[in-house]
Amino acid sequence: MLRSSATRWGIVTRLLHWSMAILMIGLLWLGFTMVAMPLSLVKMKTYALHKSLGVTVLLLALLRVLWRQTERTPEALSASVWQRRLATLVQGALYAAMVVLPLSGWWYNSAAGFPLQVFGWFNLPHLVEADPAMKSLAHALHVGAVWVLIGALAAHVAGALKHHFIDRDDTFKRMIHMRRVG
Amino acid sequence: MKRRAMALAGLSLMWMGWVSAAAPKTYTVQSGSSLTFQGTQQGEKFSGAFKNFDATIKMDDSASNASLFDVTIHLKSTDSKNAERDAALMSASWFDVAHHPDAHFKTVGFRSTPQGTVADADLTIRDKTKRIVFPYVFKKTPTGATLDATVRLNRLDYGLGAGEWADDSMVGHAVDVLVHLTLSSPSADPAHR
Repeated sequence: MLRSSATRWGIVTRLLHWSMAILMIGLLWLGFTMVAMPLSLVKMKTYALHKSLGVTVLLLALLRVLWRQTERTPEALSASVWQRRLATLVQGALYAAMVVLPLSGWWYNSAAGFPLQVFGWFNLPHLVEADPAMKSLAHALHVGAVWVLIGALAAHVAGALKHHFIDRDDTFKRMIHMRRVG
Repeated sequence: MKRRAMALAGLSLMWMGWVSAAAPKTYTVQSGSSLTFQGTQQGEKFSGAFKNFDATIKMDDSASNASLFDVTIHLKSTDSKNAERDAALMSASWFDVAHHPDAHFKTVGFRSTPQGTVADADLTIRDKTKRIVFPYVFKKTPTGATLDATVRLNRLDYGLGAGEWADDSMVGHAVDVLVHLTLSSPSADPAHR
């Protein structure tokens, strides 16, 4: 099924969920790796890849939010009210990170005066003129959002594992399985 | 022998006369002058300025070979409005300012072409010197003159970004250098008086 139902996630949402999970974790790894690299062509190419993948995440995030409007969200399984609220808060932080990280990265890149070329294919415009003060601010926002993302990811994964191994419900399984579960 | 000596003396006098007629004026560079460049990085143009340079400009009316453009560019003053890029430009792969703090441009002669007068000049960046053709526009103004020129260089001719950086997908090979000098009222050049 393309669309989600009351009990299961549709294929579109599952594909978006896992492709973005891989991209975002890959981006975190690339980001921490590239800043520690000494200046070289490889460093610049790693930055270019990080930026291109970040733009991809922004695009997928927009698709995901739009798609979510067109379908229902499956009911949460076996968790107390406060746990459901926490899960919703964490998911909200993840959605925010999907948008804030690419946009703050784009802002930082513009304020630093760098080009933003997507996969060597086309260039996106600068959001602002090069400006050292704004560059510091955008960098702080980008790095701050990184730590929010890391915290939210950890909580999200912990929640999935808790549902799978402690509650023994289908919360995790229904995000990976193609077949009907529950 | 005597006639030959006389003829030689006469020729020398004529030559001296010609030199004094063609005595180039020395101009001084005024504020409002700029020495900038435009390169390409990841599919996008960027520009920078060499904020600190010394120029000796001698020009006579006929742009004879007594004229001279001699410019020393202090590369540490390079500003491309990007701290990381400027730091990279200073590094050993690019300008290598630790070993070659200055670039040097000096004309070796002037000649007429159908497009106007051009200078032939030696441009030295790092340890590489290349003779280039330098088309320029020299205009007299009430207060002095202006000198404008644009010249396209290939950064690889000067060993700028050799090795891994020679890849032009990150940094393009062509770099345009734009000269705009505002020059003060001329004074006769004492060396030729």
